[in-house]
Amino acid sequence: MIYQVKADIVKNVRVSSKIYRMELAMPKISSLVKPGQFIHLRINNSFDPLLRRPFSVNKVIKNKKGKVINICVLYEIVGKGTSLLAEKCSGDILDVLGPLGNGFAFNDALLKNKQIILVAGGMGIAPLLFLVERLKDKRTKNKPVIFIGSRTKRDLVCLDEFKKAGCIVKISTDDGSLGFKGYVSELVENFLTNCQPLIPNPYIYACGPSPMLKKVQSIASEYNLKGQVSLDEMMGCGIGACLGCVVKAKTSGAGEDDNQPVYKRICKDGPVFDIQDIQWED
Amino acid sequence: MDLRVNLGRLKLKNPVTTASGTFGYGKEFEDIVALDKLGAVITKTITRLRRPGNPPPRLTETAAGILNAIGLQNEGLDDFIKNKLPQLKAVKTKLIVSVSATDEDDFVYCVQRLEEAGVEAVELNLSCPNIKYSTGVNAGKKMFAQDAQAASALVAGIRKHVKLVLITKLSPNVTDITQIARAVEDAGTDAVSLINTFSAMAIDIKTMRPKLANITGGLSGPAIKPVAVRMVYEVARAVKVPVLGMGGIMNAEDALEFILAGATAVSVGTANFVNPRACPDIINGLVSYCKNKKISSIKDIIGGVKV
Repeated sequence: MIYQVKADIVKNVRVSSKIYRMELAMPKISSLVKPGQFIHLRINNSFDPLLRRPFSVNKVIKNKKGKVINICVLYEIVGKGTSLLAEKCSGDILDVLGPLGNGFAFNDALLKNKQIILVAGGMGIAPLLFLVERLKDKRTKNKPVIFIGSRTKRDLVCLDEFKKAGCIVKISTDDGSLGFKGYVSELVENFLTNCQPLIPNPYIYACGPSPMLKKVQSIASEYNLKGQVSLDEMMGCGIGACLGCVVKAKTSGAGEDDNQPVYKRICKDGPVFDIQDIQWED
Repeated sequence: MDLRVNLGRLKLKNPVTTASGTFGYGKEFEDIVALDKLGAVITKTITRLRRPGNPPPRLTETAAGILNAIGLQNEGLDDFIKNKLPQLKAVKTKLIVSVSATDEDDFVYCVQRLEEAGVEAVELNLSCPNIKYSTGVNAGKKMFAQDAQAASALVAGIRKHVKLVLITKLSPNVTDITQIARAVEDAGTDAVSLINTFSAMAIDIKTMRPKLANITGGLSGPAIKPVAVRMVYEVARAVKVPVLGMGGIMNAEDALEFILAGATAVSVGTANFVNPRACPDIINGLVSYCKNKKISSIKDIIGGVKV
């Protein structure tokens, strides 16, 4: 069930130079939302910006009775929409559509005897925090390992929360200001090369920019690993109607009697896909 | 309060319909919108064969508008009739199936099949800016809706074969839209719908590339509304068949402008993305307006602009 609600902003806090976390009160959507799903926010009632903005759920907040009532989203100021969002205060009201998309699969059968590896690039950490919060109850064999890549030390957020959720945190920065200097995909590859025999059955969850996800796909192929990726794209409707936010999918060959491409909707068929489902462009 | 209007032989319970391509096949919105409250559901355009659509990026935002080049992605006529039509027919509102093709044979084939399947009305999409027609001297250069002769021959060719209600969708990318409207009226269309999107372009100055993979796309949204109102006004005065008006309608006030300009009914498009409840909100707004103005039937104000 999809709801369109008016949500009160509980908090809108700056957590780094250009990164904010907004907490919104929306009991109906909160009670249904699963890790990897997103909400579609209308920034204001004007026509510029016109479209809603999609944000994956970063965290859920429970009330004293343990019922999930609020949702947090994490966003970076990148344009007009996010700039206006950063100016919002607690008590302001936003029009919200959700929960949307399909979310991560993380059932017991899937994760049995698996070592969970999470890969986050930039704001890709957002949905992975909610995921590891829910994985805590899973009692997987080893602690999940999360690889977080960012441009610079200043843009690293949520690190303590990942540690609190029981993750081992490995960091890379483009400028080398903290952790490994280079891309997070290189860090993952180094880790797998050095530790693979010691780590049985790694299973990947990744979210980040397309070049990173493409690299993660090729690493997964090379090491024969399974996993899921979450995609981030500009959207129209957010509910699968407009076909504006598509990605090219790999075709199976079987049942496809022609060579036409197959485009899948990120908002409805995703945003989470099997790591091997996407046909990345060269 | 009587909101009923007649789009030719098609009797609508109210004048609010969903613009093709912005409402999927209705199902996508059913959690949020009671479909049976709508005047009509107009589907995403169907073509004879499956179309994969254009490569991404397909959609970008502009000031008070959006630019799209979806490329008529759809699973084809057979899939529509088998998998989508039964659910749509079960909804207690009128259904208008949008259909497109690049030549007359495919158009006739699709419309005939839809009539056989019990469809009461089709919107002939002659004006998708991402599709050009494929026969004749202007093959590959123009849309049907940019060529009065080609549009007229096409509509007449379809009219010969079917009895269902034909609504012909026109393009604003012409020098005189009334000329095309008159041509398709003479060819036997039951109504005209306008306007489709404007051919347009946006460039990313960081990458120095077009923002859409298709280079150009169709502009819709509030940015185009005043042009759409003007075109509806001109066409409504030029033809006798009813006009289905659209172009940037966001709320009831916008819908009323189109009705006053001469639209018998309206389609809501881009607004569905911004506010999925736009259509029911607009219907409620029309009721309030009529109450306040003591208008007993919405029909009384169609084309009622005082000039």
